[in-house]
Amino acid sequence: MYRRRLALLAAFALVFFQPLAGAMPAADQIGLAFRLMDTTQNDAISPAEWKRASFALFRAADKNNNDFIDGDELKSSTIAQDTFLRADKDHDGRLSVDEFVELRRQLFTLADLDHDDYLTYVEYELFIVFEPVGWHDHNANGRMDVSELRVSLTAAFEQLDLDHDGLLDKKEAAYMEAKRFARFDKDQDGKLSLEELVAGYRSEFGV
Amino acid sequence: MKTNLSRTLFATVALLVVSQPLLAATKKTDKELGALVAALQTVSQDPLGGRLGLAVAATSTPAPALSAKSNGLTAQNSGVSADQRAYQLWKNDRKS
Repeated sequence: MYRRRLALLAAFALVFFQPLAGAMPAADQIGLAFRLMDTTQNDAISPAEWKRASFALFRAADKNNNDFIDGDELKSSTIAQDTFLRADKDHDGRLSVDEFVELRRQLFTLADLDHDDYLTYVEYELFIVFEPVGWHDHNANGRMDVSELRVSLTAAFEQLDLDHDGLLDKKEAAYMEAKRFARFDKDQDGKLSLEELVAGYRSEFGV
Repeated sequence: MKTNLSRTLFATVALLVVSQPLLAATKKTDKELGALVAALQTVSQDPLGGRLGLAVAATSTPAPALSAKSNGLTAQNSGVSADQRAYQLWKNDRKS
């Protein structure tokens, strides 16, 4: 109960905190989103918790409360527009609850790297990291697999490495919790190479 | 007359007293919901999942047509999906 109150108090303050590395959110922001979804406070997002969060997002997007997301109710990035068109399975020009929740369900499945029907914090963090850069589905099975981490992290690394020095400093990796950054930083030079990043995440999944 | 007025006043006060916890609960739920949405929108401005959403939407198959569309049944007989029912329950829970 105290934890939830603290999270709520922090929510509105942290909304205005700007991440340091490009458009990637900061670790505190990712942590807050995770904790607020994790209503059972078991450090994992269940399909039911993800679905409730999806309902909240749908309701927020449905400005006129007609139980549909119309095209003009979504922020119109090119990617979002394309996704909207593809997710609109009945081609009626709007997303129903079914269509939206189905897309969100598929995103949950995609993000569940160890296929245990729960999203851990690391899986959710990777979901946020890969959202702007995509995922290289090497084995074309429609899921993110641990074996595919290297290729996809390489693409993400290039996006995060703002000064293009081949390393991520703490500012560039601000999306990552400090404890994990320190754990990944095997040579303790205060920066993460691609190899350290890949090895670190693979170790999180016991690989 | 005085009795009716007393009863009306009593009923009004009782209603106000009973409704306060319900109003407080609704405000709390709205606040929690607002915090959740704000937090989710902070980490991702695209609820459709960015490039990940584009990839899954491109590969997923079209949803099967609801019975109302396929054979002209009325809305009352059309299949309301489990997700739609769950969403309506979720919305109603927030209003109550």
